[in-house]
Amino acid sequence: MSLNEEGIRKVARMKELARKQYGRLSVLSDAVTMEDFNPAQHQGEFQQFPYRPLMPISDFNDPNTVMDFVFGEIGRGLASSETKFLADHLASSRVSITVPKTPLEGVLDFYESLKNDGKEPSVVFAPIEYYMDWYDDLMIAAGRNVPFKIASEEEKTYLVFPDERRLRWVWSNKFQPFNDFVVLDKNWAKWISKRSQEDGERLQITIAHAGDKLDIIFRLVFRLEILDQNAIRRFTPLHVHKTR
Amino acid sequence: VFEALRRLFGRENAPSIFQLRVIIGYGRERALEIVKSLKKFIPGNRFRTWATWRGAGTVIASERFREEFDKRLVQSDVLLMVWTSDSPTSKEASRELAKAVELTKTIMPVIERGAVPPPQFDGLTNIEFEEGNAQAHFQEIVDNLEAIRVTREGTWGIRVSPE
Repeated sequence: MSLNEEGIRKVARMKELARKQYGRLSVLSDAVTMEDFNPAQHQGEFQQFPYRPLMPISDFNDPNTVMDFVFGEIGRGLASSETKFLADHLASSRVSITVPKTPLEGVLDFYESLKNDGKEPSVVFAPIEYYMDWYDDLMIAAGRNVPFKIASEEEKTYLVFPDERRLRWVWSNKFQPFNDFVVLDKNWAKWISKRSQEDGERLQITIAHAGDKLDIIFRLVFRLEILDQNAIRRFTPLHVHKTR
Repeated sequence: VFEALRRLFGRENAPSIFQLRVIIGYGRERALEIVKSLKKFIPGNRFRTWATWRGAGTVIASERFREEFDKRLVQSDVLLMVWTSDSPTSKEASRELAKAVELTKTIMPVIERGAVPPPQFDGLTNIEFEEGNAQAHFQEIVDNLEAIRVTREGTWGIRVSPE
């Protein structure tokens, strides 16, 4: 069985939506420094996140089968797996400190601590268990009139300081769990990506025919090199503010 | 439909363990009846649904309602937002959408034919809804929720392996 005109269009849409959703959620640009693979520079082993579904060609060819949510979820799942991988690495790279602070006080203290060490903080990983108290904390600690605030652009979220400086903010969830707050300068590690030789995209998508199905491989190929563990601060706050 | 989707991902024999949690929001009162019917229509064995009743005629929700909504949203996988022609002025719906974006939830907009979607729906895959054909649209919504559920079973927590 081969792809008809509708099938060819839907394959293009699959690539577009999976990559778009992955790009909207990936934390890499704020959480690590990024380089593209260069065989002259980068020796050694690489790793990958692979996802390989077998999808019936008939579903691609049928104009009544809408698969947009499937394609988007694939990109979402890959971005989430990447975040979990980074969070696991961060947890094993630096011991967590328990501090008698609220989450916001802790984030601001460790932000300053990084700055004092000549670092440039770029992202916060925050455990979702603090979500409800976090907003009370923002309101009380920062004050209603000079607030810190949370702002989102597309699906990327930032903690915005009163002077407009901002930090990427990443909440944990059940698929990308983490237990401690982490504030870091993205120069803590280098992420080397092998891009698709076909179209140069970081999320590689290869498609082969397998009888009446398409054998599709989505994969991110990379190597993580840790550069500076002193660019990571990891903590558990002991206090929370409550307005309720 | 469910079995076809499972075959789609080559997981015919895999046990279904993942229950997708869906929170249903709405713009304004006209969508309430749609939300109530939709909640009844979504099968409980694969989906856990929670709908946001702000109360008839309520435009601005109470703090207690917002707190409850936020707690439920944290636990949810998908925000299904029903948007009718009287929705664009809903501050609460805008707030709920912003929260869903912050928490990187999948947003599934269900838009009544002729309604003007809010900017938060830009770039999202929409499902069009027409009251005269409600059952068919409800089925389309459930099929798409099932597509998300099955895809998540396969894609979330992909383990890293050597190249």
